[in-house]
Amino acid sequence: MNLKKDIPNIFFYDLYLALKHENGFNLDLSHFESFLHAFTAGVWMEADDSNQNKIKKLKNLCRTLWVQRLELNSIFEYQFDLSIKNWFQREIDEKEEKGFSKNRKDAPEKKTNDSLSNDVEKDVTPEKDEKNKINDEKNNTSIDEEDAIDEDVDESQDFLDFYLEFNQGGGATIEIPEIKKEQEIPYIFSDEKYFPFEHRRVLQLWKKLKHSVMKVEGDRLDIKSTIVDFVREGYISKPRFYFENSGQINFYLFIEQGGPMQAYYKLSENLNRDLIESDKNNHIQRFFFTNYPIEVDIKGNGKKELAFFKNRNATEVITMSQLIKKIKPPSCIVFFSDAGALDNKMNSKRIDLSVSVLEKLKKQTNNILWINPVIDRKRWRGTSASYISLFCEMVPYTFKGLEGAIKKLKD
Amino acid sequence: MKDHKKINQFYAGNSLLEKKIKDNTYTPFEISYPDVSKDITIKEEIAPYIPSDELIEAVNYARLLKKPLLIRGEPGCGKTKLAQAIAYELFEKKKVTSGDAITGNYRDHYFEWFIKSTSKAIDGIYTFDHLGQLRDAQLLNSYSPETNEHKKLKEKKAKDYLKFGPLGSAFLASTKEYPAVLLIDEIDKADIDFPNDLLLELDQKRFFIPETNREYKAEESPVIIITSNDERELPNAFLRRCVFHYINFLEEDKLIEILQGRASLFKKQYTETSDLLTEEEYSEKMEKKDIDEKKKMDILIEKLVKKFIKIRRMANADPNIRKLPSTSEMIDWFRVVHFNLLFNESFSIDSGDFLNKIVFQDVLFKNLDDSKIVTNLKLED
Repeated sequence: MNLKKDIPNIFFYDLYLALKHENGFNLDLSHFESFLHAFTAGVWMEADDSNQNKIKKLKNLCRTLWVQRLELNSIFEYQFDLSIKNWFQREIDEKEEKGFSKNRKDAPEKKTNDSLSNDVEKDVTPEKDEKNKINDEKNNTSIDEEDAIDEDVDESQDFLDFYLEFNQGGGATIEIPEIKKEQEIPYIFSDEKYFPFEHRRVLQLWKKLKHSVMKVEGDRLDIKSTIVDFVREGYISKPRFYFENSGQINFYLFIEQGGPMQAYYKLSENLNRDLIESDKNNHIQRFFFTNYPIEVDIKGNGKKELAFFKNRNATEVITMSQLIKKIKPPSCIVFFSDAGALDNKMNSKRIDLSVSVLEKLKKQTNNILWINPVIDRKRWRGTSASYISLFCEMVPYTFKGLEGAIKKLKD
Repeated sequence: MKDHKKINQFYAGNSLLEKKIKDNTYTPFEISYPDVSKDITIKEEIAPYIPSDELIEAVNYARLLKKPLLIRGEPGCGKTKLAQAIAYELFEKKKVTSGDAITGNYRDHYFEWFIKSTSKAIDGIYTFDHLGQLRDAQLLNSYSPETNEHKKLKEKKAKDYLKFGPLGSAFLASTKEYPAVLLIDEIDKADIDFPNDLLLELDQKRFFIPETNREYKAEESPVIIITSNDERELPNAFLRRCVFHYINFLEEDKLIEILQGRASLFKKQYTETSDLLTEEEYSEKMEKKDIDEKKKMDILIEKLVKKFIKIRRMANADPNIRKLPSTSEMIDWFRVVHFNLLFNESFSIDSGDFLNKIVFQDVLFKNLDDSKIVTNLKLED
């Protein structure tokens, strides 16, 4: 059977659309154009390839052009096999219907045509030339139809053989890689889909932040810039050096826990994981609070100081003054808290203490980001969150929110 | 359909090299470095590269679509060697079709760009000697106009300070007759913006040099092979300009083919390249261990590969093992076993030690923790 004819482009277009829209593959039209280019050039096919092999090669062609990330391979395998099985089923259904109707109509027609042609041969007169021509045409048509029917029957048989071969092989050969890496575990089996964004995408965002925060002047002479300066000023005032990564970024993560924030426990852990994984050199310190920082009198002199917990169990405390001493550049402070949006009311104590902490931290670094797990900004209105957001960059915990905030921090 | 056969001849594994080795007509290349010193000449040996069918297809698609091929896979699976194998194959194929009129070797059409964490996209295209230009401008005033030095310096133009990087050189060297092959190795090592800085060059195969105010365009798209260890996510804009292939661990028959290719080079390595043994000594030692015939060597290779696959499967079953031995480790292991067969009187692959334990495990497991775990593993049938 001719695969190029029998598996029409529409099948691959359906597959392409399914991958793009249903499975979140990052594909555009140029990807499909590339496929058509390679497909029509026939580069995937050898004349003596078996059908099984041809399917395998077609799968490899689609994979080479469309599967941009390893973790998407399992989804691709599944979707390809599913699509091709559905397509086979559809074709079989259609052929069965077509075959049934043709068998019913064709048998008597063939007979009539034959007798007609015999009649024409018998009465050949000049007056009937025109009629003969018409009959000849009819004759030819009937022969063509016959051929078409025969061809169709053969093709159906061929198709069924192919389908059986395909099914015996367990569908297009699915190669199960020997090593199952963490990345290969299909996305569909992970809990990633319940989160507001993909883990890998958000990692890139944190990397971007690192990129801008971590740049410091290194010790490699930037000859080009130095000469440009020299040409502009007429003398070398100060040599220029390339900007290089300082090696690590210090993240200070303040996580609110308890109360309604208990529901966001997993998200806070994910945030922590993202910060760690965005760069192995990152240094992350976590602090915890419930609603607002506590006020403690550690020294016992009657003077209360703001403090955070150093662990989730709230057994160790760090005061603001101790904490400020700890903050070392390049640094980025991240709050993960609803800022009172879930309480649905203004809490003056929460506002006072939160703003006070923010003011103190601002003296250490400008890179302060408040991530609010309450995604709907409308729910911040009329609560402490709307007030606190005036003092720092507060964003909902969505990809867009983070993207915007990190862009602002970079500027 | 008409031209599919022609297209399939783009790249057909390393068949020509294999044939040469089998016919004993293969000789290592001599590469000299005239810039450094006339005395430095090294011999380069290329072992046959045995690609999977899917990889061959992927290379063909990349050539057809004129897109870079992004190769990923575990360390040691042969990502980097692929570009060299393609360059060799294309050049040798040309040599076969055009007769011996072609001089030089495949290295004239093969360009390597090994990425470091400090690599900048522009370095791959060109570097401009600004300091040299400044020095010459200063010197020009210090010579009187009649002197030869003054004339020489005055004749110098901006392009004389220009030096093309591997990407720039590959673009300029690539012609319809001799398409160049460019390797961009471990792109994920570079800065996050690095891949994005190459978008225009990879897409349109052209670049502009502001210092000389000139644009250069490749006559023919070079074959660009990019490797990545997946240590960093690559941007989507970059990914959409590539075609992809993940090198899976090879099947048993391919592994056997790889080792057979290596084994055919051993004699040369011991007797010619390293002068460790004379040909007679080598043959004598091989005979002593009963691996002097090709058939017997093939049986040894088959045994080794089977054992290697067993070790790898067992290591894979242990979740604490961090780095599984790959093809490259298997080749090293084979060399060590072969070396011991030659020089270690008491070593034999039929001994109990070899059959029940993982011998020379440090060659296979590079990580200290992995090595400790493996020591306690028992090989089961």
